Amino acid sequence: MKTSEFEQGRNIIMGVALFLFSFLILRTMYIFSNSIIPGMSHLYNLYSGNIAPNIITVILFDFRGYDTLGETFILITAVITTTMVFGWGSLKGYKKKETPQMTEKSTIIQKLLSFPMSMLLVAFGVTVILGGHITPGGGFPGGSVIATGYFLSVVIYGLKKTPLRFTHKFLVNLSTIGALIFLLTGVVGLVFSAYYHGTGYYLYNTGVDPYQIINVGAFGWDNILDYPDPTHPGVIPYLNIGVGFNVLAGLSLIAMFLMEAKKDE
Amino acid sequence: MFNSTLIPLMVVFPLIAAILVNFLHKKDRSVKTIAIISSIVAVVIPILTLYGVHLFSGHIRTESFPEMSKLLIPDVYMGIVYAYGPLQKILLVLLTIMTVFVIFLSLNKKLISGVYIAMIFISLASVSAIILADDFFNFFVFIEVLTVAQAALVIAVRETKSHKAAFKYMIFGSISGGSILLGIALLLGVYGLLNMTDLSNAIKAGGALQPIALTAISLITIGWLYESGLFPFHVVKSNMYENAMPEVAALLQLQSKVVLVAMSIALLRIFSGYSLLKSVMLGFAIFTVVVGSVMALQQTDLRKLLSFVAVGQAGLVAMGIGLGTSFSISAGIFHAINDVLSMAILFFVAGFIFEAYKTTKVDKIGDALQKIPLVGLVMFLATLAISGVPPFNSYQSELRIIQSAVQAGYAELGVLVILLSVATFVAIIKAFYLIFMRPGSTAEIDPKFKGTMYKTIIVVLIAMCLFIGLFPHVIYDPIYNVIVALGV
Repeated sequence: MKTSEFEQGRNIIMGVALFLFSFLILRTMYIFSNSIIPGMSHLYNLYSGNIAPNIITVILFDFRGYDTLGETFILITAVITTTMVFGWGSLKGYKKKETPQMTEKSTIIQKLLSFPMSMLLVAFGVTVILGGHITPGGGFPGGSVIATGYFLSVVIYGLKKTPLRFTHKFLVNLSTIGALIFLLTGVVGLVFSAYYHGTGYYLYNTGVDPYQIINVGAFGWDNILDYPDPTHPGVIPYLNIGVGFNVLAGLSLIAMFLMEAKKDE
Repeated sequence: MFNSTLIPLMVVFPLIAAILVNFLHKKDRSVKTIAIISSIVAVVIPILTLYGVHLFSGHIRTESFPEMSKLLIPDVYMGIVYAYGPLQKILLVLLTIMTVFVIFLSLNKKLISGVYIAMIFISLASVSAIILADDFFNFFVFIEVLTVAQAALVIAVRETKSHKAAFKYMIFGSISGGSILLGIALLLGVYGLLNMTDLSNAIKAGGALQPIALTAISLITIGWLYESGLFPFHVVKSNMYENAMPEVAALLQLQSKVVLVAMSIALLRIFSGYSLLKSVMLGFAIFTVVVGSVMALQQTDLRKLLSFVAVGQAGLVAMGIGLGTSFSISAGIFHAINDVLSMAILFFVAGFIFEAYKTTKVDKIGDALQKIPLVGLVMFLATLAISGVPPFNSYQSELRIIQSAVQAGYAELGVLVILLSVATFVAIIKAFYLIFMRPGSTAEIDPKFKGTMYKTIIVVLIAMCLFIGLFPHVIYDPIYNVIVALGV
């Protein structure tokens, strides 16, 4: 059999397999809605009102807070991998490239409008991050909004002239701080619950203390992790801030590397 | 103090170390210090921790939830749960010790960066999480982290071939990651649960599997094949091993086999009543064994050859698990541990040869036994070990796999296992002869390269192989007890 005939046969087999598989998935999706059981989601809806007003944030940062830590690390790892493609941290060493001179392509309107717009985006992003526990939003969307603001100003003004200038080192520091806030808040929960209760729980919400196992306020300093807010969401806003730092730094770092790589085409 | 409190630290501690070394990426001495101290602490934590269950965020198990229609079973875990038992302990100690070796070897090189070490730490943390997780979604999250971190370790070599391999790995990774996630979503929809123990109880309580759960099983099995590097994905996986630095390839094959074991146990636990799953696993495992050993016989590059041998051996592990009896599953897991050790020696030898000769093409190097006799001796012993020659460790596990195959009524699989051992032996001993004994070498040895660290580590590892071969019950008995207790 010639190679081409062989490939043709293989393509037919692949096509049939793909068709059958898609049929299976679509059929499953079609009958799916009849057999859904609420399960955990029902439980979470029942109990999360005790912790913070925004139920989605409570599920994301309290019941499944450790998963969110993992998701943050997917982002960190992906950002580092992307920078590695450009040579950062590779086994052959990294040579800092000259920042390319941007050709003047932006129009006056773009130049006039993009700075205030990116400032607005940054301000909006900060609001989204800080209001994560009461309104829709949180660290992931807020961080991406700020990174969008940075990206807008970099695209319009270029890396050298941009008014919203982050250095590479600053972004790496920010990302480190964000990740450490999340990781160490968890360790604080672990240490406090181990101290009062005997068994430690990672990411235990020490500010809210939902199971009354730690004696909040016994020393005066041990409820520092309750966010000063009438809703008393405990550590959730701090975790939001950590994730926000991380997302903002990660996405901006990718934008920066992409802009630097533009010269090489 | 050393109760279940320490369990999350097995994941969190390497993550903190990764963040710190990534932050200090240029300062060589501080990166070295942090990496060495943290990797040693990472070995100590699993040894100190007592067996138990860790509840994340302190969310307890509900007690007899009244509305049965919404939950299927009366009491479930509310949050994420990690379970730590004897099997997890063995796997974690093995994983952390091997990671320490790889970090030590990597730190000895020039131009090593904190970013690279950070990726090793992140992969360590994610494999630890995969071993410990009793929660399906957490399991998936860390599988994704692992895929990206492994790709980064290969990309760091910065050659066109390694970029290609990592890119292919990521593409297939996105397909398999997507299918695992869809499978988990379907299971969450029809059973409303994510915890593996609860899910298994709910499926047992519900009687026959729902048709939607069957789709979920098939989707998750696709992910299982990819993560373990079995048959349709074996080329992608062996490409990764071959294009990474050889010592990192040793780490990658270790991680794949540990994930293979962890994920198989998870699947068998959840769908214990569904026997077709085991047959599907067995079928793919047989394909992998055949394809891996045949392709290994054709190679002329030591790294490529070892990559295919590693894939074939993963097939043997999966075969033990797919046979589906307690005896065969524990034999498969035992073989995973043995194989990881001897495969690591061979990859470290390849790393030594790569550093000394700047190539691993077997037809260029010759006469090496006179120059590096110790490495040659250890490679010969490791070849014996991996082919299942007594008194080394793989003999014990391969014997058990053959016995369990015969007991399960598949005597012909025993023949296949023996053929695989022979093929592995022939493939590696050919490379050994060409590199170490054939007169006339076109490649010159680097006279400055001493490689003391490599030599120490391979001698320690071959001693470990011999120890397990002589006293197999130290490792095998706890595994067998766990598998019998799980009742899969």
